[in-house]
Amino acid sequence: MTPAVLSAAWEGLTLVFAWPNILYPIGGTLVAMVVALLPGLSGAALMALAIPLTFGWDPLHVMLLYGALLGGATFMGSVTAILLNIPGTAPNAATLIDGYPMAQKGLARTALAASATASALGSSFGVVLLIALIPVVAPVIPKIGPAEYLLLAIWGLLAIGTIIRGSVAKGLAAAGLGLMVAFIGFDPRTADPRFTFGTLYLLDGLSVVPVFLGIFALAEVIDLSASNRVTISGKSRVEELGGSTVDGIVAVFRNGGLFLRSSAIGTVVGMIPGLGGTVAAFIAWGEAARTDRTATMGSGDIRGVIAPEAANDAKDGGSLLPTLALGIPASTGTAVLLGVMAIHGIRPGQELMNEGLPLTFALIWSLFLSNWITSAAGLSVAGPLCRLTIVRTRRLLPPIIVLATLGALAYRGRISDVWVAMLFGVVGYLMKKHHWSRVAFVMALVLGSLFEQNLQLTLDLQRLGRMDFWARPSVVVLVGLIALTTFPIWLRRRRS
Amino acid sequence: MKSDRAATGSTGSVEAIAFTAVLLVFTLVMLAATADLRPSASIVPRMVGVPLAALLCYRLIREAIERRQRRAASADQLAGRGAAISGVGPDEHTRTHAEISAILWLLALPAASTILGFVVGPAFYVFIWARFRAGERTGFAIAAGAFTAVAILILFDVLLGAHLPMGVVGLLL
Repeated sequence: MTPAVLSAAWEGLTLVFAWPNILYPIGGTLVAMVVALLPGLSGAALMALAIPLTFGWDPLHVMLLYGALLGGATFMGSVTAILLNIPGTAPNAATLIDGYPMAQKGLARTALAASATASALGSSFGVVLLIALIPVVAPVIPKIGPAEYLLLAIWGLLAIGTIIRGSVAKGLAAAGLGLMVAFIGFDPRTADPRFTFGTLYLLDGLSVVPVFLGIFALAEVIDLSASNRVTISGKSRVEELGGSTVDGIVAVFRNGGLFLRSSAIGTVVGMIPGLGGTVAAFIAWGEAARTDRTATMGSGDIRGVIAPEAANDAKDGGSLLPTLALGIPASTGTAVLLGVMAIHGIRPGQELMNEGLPLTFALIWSLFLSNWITSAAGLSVAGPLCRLTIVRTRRLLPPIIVLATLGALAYRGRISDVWVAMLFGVVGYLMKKHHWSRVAFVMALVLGSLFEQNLQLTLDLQRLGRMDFWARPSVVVLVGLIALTTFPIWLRRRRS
Repeated sequence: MKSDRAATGSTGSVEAIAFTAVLLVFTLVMLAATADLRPSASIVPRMVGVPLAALLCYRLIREAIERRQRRAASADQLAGRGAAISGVGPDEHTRTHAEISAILWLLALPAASTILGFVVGPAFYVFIWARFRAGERTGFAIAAGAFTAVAILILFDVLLGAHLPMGVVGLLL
């Protein structure tokens, strides 16, 4: 790291904490926290909604606000995921796999504290790596192509094979069904409408937000309602709840290796345009499940909370690298950020990496600050929030149903999304009841289009002689990583 | 028996068989739909769909075998008593009734919202739920419904500017 970068980092930090600049990240974080609690509404949607507000603002204030909006929504989505099985944002769907069973065991406070700690530290990891890697990685990013995307998708899909518990045939079938659902919409190669059965709605494919809301939140509503469970945790008094905030914080440090691996996954995935937090969170969860020797992942294991939360927050730092250095948006949020920057005459690339570096750091510190504010808020309210798990389900279910329904509607403003959420609510309930892996289904759904699109592109480029698959160093590295992380686990499972 | 079920994932219930059959039909319909597509658009779905259909057939057979074995075991147990074997106990009937009721209650929200709009519909739904499903007092149910409407208006309409459809009644008015 050069003295010029360090000097710019310091200047950026002083800009953030100068009065009244500090109000922008704090205000942005508070708004993002509230919005992230509403399912279906992502940080990107909020960023888009805030654009008209910023007309006439100073570019520094715009960067401070958008850094906060980018980071503020990430952790809070896990609160509803853990407490109510509703993913606040799509990436939090990976957190609820273990977070909600922890709440059912009366350990919501521990799960929330672990999530907040992993989020804060994960985002710090991503930001530090971002600062360190700006000069090194920026030239490499444009060289990442379909072959590397394909291998990342294959890595994620192979992870499904290692996380399946119980019947392998059912697990694989659930993954296959997820892939089939992912194929709905335009064919990525020919742009032919596929599996749309003449409906306009299916042309864009099924959005993951209503599917997630249905398959997790609404399926849980049916289960809670049909089972006549009195409260989510099965307890009726707060004294009966187990776990503590300290346990959650300590768990992150106890699982330091997993935390670092997950944060690294999040940062790297975040750097790669088009992948986003959902892929990062699921790959990190899959990696945690792969290395799980106790077979408790998916049934309320704290590592299943730490891994996706660390990855999801670390990805924010990573996603800023291609955005600021190259003008390539790495996620929906950074795409909106680029648009806002264009409106305010801030040009990414050389300008932001040289004379505009203090402004770049102001954005990075604002993101950093917002992540810590949300996590601190999460830790301080973990106790009161976990009381939700002792509220009678008869009282708790209507708000959950209303929130999930309006979340599905608000995402794209389509009533059809509400009905899709309902359909997947019933399907998700039946999958849960008959032991079909919902995790395998959603992982395949998330990775399906990435896999197909890049498989077709890779094959075409190879056939046309525009690419030599095995001559790419990154391909060799990724294949090596896949082999190293996947096959030993499969062999171990076969032996056991 | 329990550990066997955990390993095979089979329950042998009619519902499990029906669910697997529905998934198989969905897969077959998707596979049939690939016939209208160009080869390049259909190759990957077929690569996934054909083994998936085979897997689902295998699962269907496993579920059917499990069911036969369970029925045979039940028949052996009850043979000397002359009891009729329905395969479905009273608990299962109660559970099925509760499940159907839960699903209908769930579907009632989008139905109410489609008719009354996405502000009044959820408010009405919460009132009905609180009063008739949760057995709350009328005053509490009205307050819960009113709070729902205000919260939706403030959060989704005012703060986020989300488009909330007015519903059939709203359009008619």
